[in-house]
Amino acid sequence: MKLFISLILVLILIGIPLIGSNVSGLVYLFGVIIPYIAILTFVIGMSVRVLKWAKIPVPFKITTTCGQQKSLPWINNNNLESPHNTAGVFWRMALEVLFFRSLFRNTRTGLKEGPKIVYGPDKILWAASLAFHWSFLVIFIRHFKIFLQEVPQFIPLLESLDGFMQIGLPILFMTDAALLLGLTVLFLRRIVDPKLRYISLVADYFPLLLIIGIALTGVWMRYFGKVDIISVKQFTLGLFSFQPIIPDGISAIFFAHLFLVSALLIYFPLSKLVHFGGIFLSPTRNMSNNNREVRHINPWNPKVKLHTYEEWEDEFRDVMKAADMPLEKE
Amino acid sequence: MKLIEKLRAEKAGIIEDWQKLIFNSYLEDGSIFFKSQQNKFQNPVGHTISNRLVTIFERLLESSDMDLIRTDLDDIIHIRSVQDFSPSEAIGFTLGLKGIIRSRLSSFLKNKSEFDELTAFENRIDHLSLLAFDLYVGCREKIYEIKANEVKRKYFKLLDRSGFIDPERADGK
Amino acid sequence: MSEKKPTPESVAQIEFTPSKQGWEDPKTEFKKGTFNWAAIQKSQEYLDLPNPRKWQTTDEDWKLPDNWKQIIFDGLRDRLDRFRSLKLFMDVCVRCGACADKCHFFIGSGDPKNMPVLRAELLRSIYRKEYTLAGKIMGKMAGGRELTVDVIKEWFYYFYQCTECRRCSVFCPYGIDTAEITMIVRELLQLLGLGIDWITTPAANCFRTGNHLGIQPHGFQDSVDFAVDDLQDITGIKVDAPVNKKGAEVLFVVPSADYFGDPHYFGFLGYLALFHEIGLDYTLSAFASEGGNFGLFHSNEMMKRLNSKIYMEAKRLGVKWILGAECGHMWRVLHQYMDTMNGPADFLEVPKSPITGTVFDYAKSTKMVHICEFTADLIKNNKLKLDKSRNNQWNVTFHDSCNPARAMGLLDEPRYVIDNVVNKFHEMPENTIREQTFCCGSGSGIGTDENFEMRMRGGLPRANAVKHVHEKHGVNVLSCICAIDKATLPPLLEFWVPGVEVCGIHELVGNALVMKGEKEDRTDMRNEPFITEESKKDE
Repeated sequence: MKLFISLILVLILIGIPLIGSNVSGLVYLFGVIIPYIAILTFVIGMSVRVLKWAKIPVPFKITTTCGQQKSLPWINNNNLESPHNTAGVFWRMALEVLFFRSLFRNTRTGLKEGPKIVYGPDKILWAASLAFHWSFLVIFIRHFKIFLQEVPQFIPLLESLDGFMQIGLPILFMTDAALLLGLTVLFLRRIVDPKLRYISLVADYFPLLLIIGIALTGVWMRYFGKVDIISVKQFTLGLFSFQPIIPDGISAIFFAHLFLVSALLIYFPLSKLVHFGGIFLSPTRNMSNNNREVRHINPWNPKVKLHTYEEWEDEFRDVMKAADMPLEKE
Repeated sequence: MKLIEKLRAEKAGIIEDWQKLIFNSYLEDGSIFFKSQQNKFQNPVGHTISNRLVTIFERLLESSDMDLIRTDLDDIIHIRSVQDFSPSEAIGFTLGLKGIIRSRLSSFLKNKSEFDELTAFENRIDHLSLLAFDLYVGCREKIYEIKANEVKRKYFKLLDRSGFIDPERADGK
Repeated sequence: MSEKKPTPESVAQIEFTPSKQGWEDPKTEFKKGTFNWAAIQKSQEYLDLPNPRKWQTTDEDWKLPDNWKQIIFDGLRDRLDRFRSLKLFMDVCVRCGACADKCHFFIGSGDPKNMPVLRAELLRSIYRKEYTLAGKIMGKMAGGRELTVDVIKEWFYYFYQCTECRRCSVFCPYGIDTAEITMIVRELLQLLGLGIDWITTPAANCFRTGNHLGIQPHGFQDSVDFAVDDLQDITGIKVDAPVNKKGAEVLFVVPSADYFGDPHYFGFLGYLALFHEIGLDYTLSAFASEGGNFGLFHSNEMMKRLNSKIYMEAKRLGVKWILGAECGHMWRVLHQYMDTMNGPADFLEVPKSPITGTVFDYAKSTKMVHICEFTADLIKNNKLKLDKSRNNQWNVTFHDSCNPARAMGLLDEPRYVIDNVVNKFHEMPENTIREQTFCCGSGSGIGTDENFEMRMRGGLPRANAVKHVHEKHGVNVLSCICAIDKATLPPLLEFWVPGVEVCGIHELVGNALVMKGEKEDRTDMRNEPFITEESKKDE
């Protein structure tokens, strides 16, 4: 049901520009207005999100320690998993953000004959996520080829690396394949694994399908539809130099691609996709485990009703006296 | 014993029905997980139950000696005794085997001799149920014994000092 | 309570229809053995908690205040503005499922709402409905749920079914910590007067008398005196165990179970023996006679109220620094909260071992050292005479308690100590120890009698790992450094792995410790004779 709703939503999103961009007059809407709105929404939305998080205090230092603390000098501190200083935190975060360290740790509860529970590694989620996120990033960077007048030198280099397998014509980019593969795995997991099917919401299927839509329209344009790349570049350059023009010869499928990207940008700050920014702020990961060494300040440390020693002694003085215990007041 | 041979032939189907029956006794959503066995989601509960049912059924076919079944059945009963079941629900799966066999072998059960054989086999299932009952009660008794021990442990020194714990058994057990 | 009486037909029913409803339906059945009794009125009143009244979990009507909905919304809004963790954890979860089968309660019960992601989703769905744009507009489609009394009951059931062990947090790509969410939902429930007795009453006791058990000062003194006598019976040595002694160098804080419970008590004897042997100038305190802190399971304010006694007492007694005994959640509070809440402890000195001269500079702000760190340092510096063979009756494994492992990173110190006091030691399987350790199933104040069945289910993964080393290596004792473990692992093992006992590390230290002037026939901390080569030959 939830899957079905998401699918319909994405199909509608593809349908709108396919039909709409053929209607004269609406091209400007799909080619210029919506992309501008989308970029604006994304930038403002994400900034607001991150600023909001950043504004909220972190009352306690609640690092999740995944390794040996720093204590006695002869005990090896695991500064990556239980960092005691900023450098440690930096590397821990780097591992987390760039290589998804925690997902790498993922185990699967399983049983072997015997029966013994074993907790074997489960790297599928990690591999698929990594493939997806990295490919997405590389593909995004590759797109600068059409965003910028002067193509920076590293982009052709990146492209030749990406296409080094030299398969097909146009040469197949590995990241295109990896992106789709990653997305497929992430999507299938949600359908095949009963646990995941159970926890998945519309908000989980929808972005996956949306990105699959983006990828498929992109792949179609590059490998099959063969859009007029010159016109597209003219168009994007116009868009980015705030002098939008819509040259002739841009196919509807390009507008579909553009529209889906716009939808993603708008959806981004409203959804779980904000994890892209949130990961940097997670208090269990981005703080060092040096609690006993450096005092952490809680800006709203509350005043609470305490029970003082004096009150306590007042209540129990007699019995304490009888038990010969030392007293403040006789 | 033609029936035993027939049951052997039908083993896979019968066990499958039997496993289904026991998993269906779990919270609807929970049973999805216990049931999905083929490396999708495995778990101590689901695995113990699936595996032990196979062994139990095989042993039932071989002999009426319940001692051979005791440990396997106990593993299942241990788990079910701490889950959300009334006693009859916890051990009812043993009797459920009868219905499964009758429906699986309906075409085979035609005349009296076959029914006689079936009755004999169902006797074994009755014994299985009685054993399950014993084991279940044993588990529940154990639970209350453990609970009592837990309280004693908590106030071990207090009881000790008050003379409630015999010095001969100073470990409080 | 399961009222449904099955007929043979219904039991034999084979047709299976999966729930079409999904998890969004909040209706929760409170089944016997899986929930906790409500906080009693007297304890609620003693602590000035909101909405004190007589009520019981099994009642249909929980007697919520009329404006309960507003209280929850205001409370949630307030906490979203005060805890970045909460706001972030509400926003960033992608439901990747990495945490799903990491929870011991899920593994043992199969109840899908015990998957950490869904446990959090119970709150997140309300959050989405009320505080996010998508949820406000699209409601259910965006995964929002309406706040109803059933949701409150569902929260009560499932957030008192989380032991705050943080195992899921290790595996989450964003470090989402269900313990943090549980703590905050419990705070919200407390606003309506929905606490459980096993948390509220110990907290009230602790606030009044200084310890969870409600032992009054003379009773505490008595307990210590008895321990001194018992130790004399065992070793022939009369040790000095000062209480409320001003001017001592070190304040020693123990969880209250240590001076009453079995097997805690044997570890307590171990401490006394150790301190005597090294001649430590220390004192216990009847006012700070509890290191544990059930406030942690209640609210951050309650945690602060109960914890305040430790620094107050250290200041009053004029000690230089504080030493803390074996206890799990106690050390989460001491390590991650105490200094922030009740510090700065500028009236104390940077801890320095008077025996070895080691300066514990990693504790220079909080000024509190874990007994395992302290003992490890003694052993490393050859200050103890240890005879490992005195633990030959034990074949040991070590259970990392959740909090020292995942909120502190205290992993190798206890192992170093064990390694130096026993001959036979075997680790449990790799993914069940250290930061991936499995909870005892009874932490965070839910180790109650009435919750027994749930505890047995939740402890199954831990027990399974113990069973493995029991069968493979003949392990017969599970050592640990947590008072709740020591209380709740014995029943767990009695049920799943009979034949394996539980002990604290300092019981093993006490056994192995060769004391000057000890009597010829001294026994172990349980007052059992040592198994020596001769006694083996005799058998």
